[in-house]
Amino acid sequence: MSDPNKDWLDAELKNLRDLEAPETLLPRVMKTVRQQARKAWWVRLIDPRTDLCRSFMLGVSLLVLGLFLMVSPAQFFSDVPVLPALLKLIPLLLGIAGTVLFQVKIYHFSVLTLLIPAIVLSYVFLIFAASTIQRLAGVRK
Amino acid sequence: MIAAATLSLSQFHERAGCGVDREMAEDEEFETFIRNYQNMVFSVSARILGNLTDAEDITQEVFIKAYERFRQLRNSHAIGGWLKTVATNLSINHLNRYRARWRFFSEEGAPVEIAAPETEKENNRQEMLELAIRKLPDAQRVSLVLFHFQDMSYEEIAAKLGVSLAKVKTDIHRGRETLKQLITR
Repeated sequence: MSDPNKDWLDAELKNLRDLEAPETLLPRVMKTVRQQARKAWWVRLIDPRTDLCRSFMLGVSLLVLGLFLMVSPAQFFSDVPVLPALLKLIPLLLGIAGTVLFQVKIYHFSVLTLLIPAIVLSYVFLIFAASTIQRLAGVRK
Repeated sequence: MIAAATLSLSQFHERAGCGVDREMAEDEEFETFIRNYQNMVFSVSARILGNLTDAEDITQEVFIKAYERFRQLRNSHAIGGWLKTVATNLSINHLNRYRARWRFFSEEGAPVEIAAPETEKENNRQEMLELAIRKLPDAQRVSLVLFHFQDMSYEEIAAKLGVSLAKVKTDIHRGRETLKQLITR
C-alpha cells in the first residue's frame, strides 16, 4: 500500500543528483593539508584545540591571581634569603605598585577603582568592534 | 668501516626515499578520496547552508578533519556516513554561530521569490528545485533537508536542532508547500 503523504515532490527530491563541487575545492584542501603536514607535531596537536588551551591559560591565570591574593608576594620574596639582588627588587616594585593602586587618590577614588572599569570598558569595546567587523565581513561575503 | 658507513647511508637514503614515496602515495590516495566524495559532502553542506560559498568552506573543513583520521577512515565501510554526519554537524554549527546575523539580515517573513530562468541551463527542473531549496528560510530548509536527504525522523531532527517536534513538522510542511508552489508556478 502506498504512503498517502508521499507525493510527486518526494520523487523529485529523491531524484535530485549531488551538486558539482567547485573545481577550486580540491587544490584548496590539498594545499591546507600539505601545510598542516609540514607543521611540528605539537603545533598540530594544539591547533584544533585552541579554545581548550585558551580556557586552560585563563584558568591558570586566575589560579595565580588567587594565590597572589592569598600569599602576599612582597612578603614571600623578602623572606627568601638566597635570591639574587635583582629579584629583591620585585617586592620593592610590588610595594610601590600596591601603594599607587590603593593609596593614590584621584577625585576621592583610588587608582584601582578607576582602573578596573577602564579595563572592563576597553575589553567590551574591543569585543564589540571585533564582532562588528566579523559581521560586516560576513555580510560582504 | 667505510663500507659499513656507506651501507648505512644508502639504507638511510632508501628509507628516506620510501618515506617520501609513502607520503606521495598517501597524498594521491587522499586526492582520490576527495574526488570520490567531494560532490556528496558539498551537496550536504550547500543544501543545509543555502549558500555555495559557505558550503565550500565547510566542505574544506570536513576533508581536513577526514585527513586527520584518514588512516582509520580509509578502510572503513562507514566512511560515507561519517562524512555526511560531520558535514551536517559543521553546517548546523555554522548556521547557529551566525544565527543572530542571519536573523538580523535575512528576510525570514518575506515570501520566497525566485527569478524566472534566464538561461537554458537554469530551465532545468532539477536546478529550479535546487535553487528553490536554497532560497527557503533557514529553519524550513534545514529541517526539510535533514528529513529528505539525511533520512532523519522528526524526533531526531528536533533533538539535533534543539527545537520542538511541532516546530519541525510545521517547518517541513511549510517548506514543502513553498517548494511545490515554486515548482508548479
